[in-house]
Amino acid sequence: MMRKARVVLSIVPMLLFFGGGLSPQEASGSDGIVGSEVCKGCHEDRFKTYMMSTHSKKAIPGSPENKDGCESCHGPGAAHVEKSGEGGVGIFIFSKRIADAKAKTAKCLACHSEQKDLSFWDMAKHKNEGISCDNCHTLHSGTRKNLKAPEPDLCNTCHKDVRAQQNRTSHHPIREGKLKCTGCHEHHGGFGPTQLKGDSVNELCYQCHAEKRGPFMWPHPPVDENCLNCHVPHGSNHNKLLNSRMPQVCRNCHDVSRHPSTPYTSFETFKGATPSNKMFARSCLNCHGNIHGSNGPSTRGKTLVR
Amino acid sequence: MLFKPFLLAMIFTLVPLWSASAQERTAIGEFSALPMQVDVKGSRAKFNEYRDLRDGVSGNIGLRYDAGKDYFDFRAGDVGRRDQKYELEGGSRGNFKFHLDYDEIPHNFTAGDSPSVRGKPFIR
Repeated sequence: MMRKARVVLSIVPMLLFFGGGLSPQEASGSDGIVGSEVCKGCHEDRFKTYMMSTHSKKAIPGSPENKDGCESCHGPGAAHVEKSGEGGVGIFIFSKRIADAKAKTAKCLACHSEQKDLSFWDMAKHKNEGISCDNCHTLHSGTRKNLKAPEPDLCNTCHKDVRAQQNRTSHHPIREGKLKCTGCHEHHGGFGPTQLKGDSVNELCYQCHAEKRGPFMWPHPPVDENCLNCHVPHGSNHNKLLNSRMPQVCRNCHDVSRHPSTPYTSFETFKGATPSNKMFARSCLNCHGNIHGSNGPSTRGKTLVR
Repeated sequence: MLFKPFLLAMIFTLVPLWSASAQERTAIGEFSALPMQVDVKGSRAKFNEYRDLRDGVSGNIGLRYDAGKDYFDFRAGDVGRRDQKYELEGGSRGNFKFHLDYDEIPHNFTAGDSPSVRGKPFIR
């Protein structure tokens, strides 16, 4: 009798340890993975959008579909299922309230860290400002590059000042859809203050505006220095994306030398029967047409007249 | 003339894709033709600075084929206009990808507008 009781007493802790004491995660398989089909049972709409995305492609080696499906990104779902879909049980949700940018980005970089265009992500301004992948990309849906909105609308969501500039009279063809923000900027990080795709502002501009590069026999030094000395990149209310109206943009430097040494004011330029050409048409460029540099002979080239 | 390189690229891309496995195969095609009538009050040159909006028909084409690993995507916009755009994207996921892009960007400075200065200006 005594021996029987001892056997029963030793079996009970063993059962508790190997059976009754199992956590829901352990009960549902390795690491608490329940499988995407279980997720689909409740989150059918989310599952549909996931199936439209590149993440769901079984043919791609290393895709979530070839790992644990939904749980590859959202974590094991056993505890979540066990508690009938209750929150706060270790399910990873790409929400600002629940996870910080670092944690969300880490989830994506677990697979995408070796991607070529993410080489400079660690020094990206977007990262330093607390932007995570899910701010621009969606894990679900079948949009191009899994973007939440097409360019430039997506970038303009935050960069409202740039959106205002794009809508000015003189602008690059961004709003016409001919030029994208990513045409000039490296959104995942790059060198330079504005993550430009070129080594410098000028090198970037010359990729399209090659005729401004030279070399010229008579260069215009501010041009070689930086295009942004005279131009603004996104849009301006002055012609040719100038940062101020002609002739004032020239007068910023040419204030006391050459002709004339007096200020260009309305009194100077609009008086008399015939108006001066200082304020009309292309102003200084009426004569100095090759403002970016000239190969003309003698003083005509030196003064960028031809 | 413009279509020729794109058509050849499409054919060469589609042939291996068609023989791809039947799993997860999706083919989507869309074509739209939009009749347009444009009435500009103001500077016509500025209105059409980077585009070609005029009376007529504007066509858009979209073809998408996805066989899981292999994919192919062709888009054409404003077909036959001065700002027409063609884009061909495809590849085999995990192996290679390609992207051909043809985008016409007109830049109109004037469209028969009269110059702002009449008469003979002089330098003081």
